[in-house]
Amino acid sequence: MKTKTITRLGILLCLGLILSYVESLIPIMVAVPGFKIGLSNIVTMYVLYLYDNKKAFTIMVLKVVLSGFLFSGISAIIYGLAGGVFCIVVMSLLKKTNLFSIMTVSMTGAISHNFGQLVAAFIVMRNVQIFMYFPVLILTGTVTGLLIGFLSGIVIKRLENSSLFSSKDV
Amino acid sequence: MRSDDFLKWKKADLYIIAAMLCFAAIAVLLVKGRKTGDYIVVESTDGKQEYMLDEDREIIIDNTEHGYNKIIISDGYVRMEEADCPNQLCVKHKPVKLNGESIVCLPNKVYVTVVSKNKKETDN
Repeated sequence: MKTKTITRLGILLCLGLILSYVESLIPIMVAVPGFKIGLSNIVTMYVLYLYDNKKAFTIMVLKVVLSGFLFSGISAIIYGLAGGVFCIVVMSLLKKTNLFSIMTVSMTGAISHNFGQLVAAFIVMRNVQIFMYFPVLILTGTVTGLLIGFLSGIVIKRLENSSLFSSKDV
Repeated sequence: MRSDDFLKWKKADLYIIAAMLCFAAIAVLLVKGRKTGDYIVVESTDGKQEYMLDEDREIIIDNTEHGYNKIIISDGYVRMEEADCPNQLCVKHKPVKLNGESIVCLPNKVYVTVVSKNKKETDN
């Protein structure tokens, strides 16, 4: 890996952490446990589209672990990792088919992230009732996922060709 | 680098979004449309007992080993009226009536579950 790539991924990771922090400042407006806008996923999408799956996976894991230690706590790391793994796997598969727009890739990512978190919560609490939240989480995931996907698309398009942050020479 | 335009909507997008929304709608209906249960099963160290939900009554479990619980059935709802457990979670639990809902008093080992008729046949 080139030094340039490592540096850029480091900067992107920092940006992801800052976005996680910004998001933790926004008061949660919906009374659904686990509801998040997922601002920092713009970074994950950026790495997924301009770099590769492996790098996106690494950035996601580091982002969850670091932001867990910095802002939210150990349990958030467990749930975040479970959700993140589902999310990255589904998104990379969908992206590979080249059939879907970035909005849909992000949306399915958000939904599978929620699903992963529910699975983790189920393993921790041993309560099937927890899956009752899934329908609501699908709806919130659809809205936030499409929105974040659209934002990521714009960001990627603008930055793809800028000399400042072009990853053409990765 | 990718040359195709990932910001454009494609046909497959529509399908997957529609599928997700349908799935969510069906799941919401399944959760909200749960039927009212017909009877409750009360499990305690005294054994397992069934009570119909449509007649109001008071069930008292007074077991020297595991404490005291008073369950009340009224207007088709079940609630835990009293319990001498330390956390009082069961007393604070909202009254239940839908199939599958339950109130549990873990310290006193009392489990109240709402069941509907057609489940009884499969239940042993």
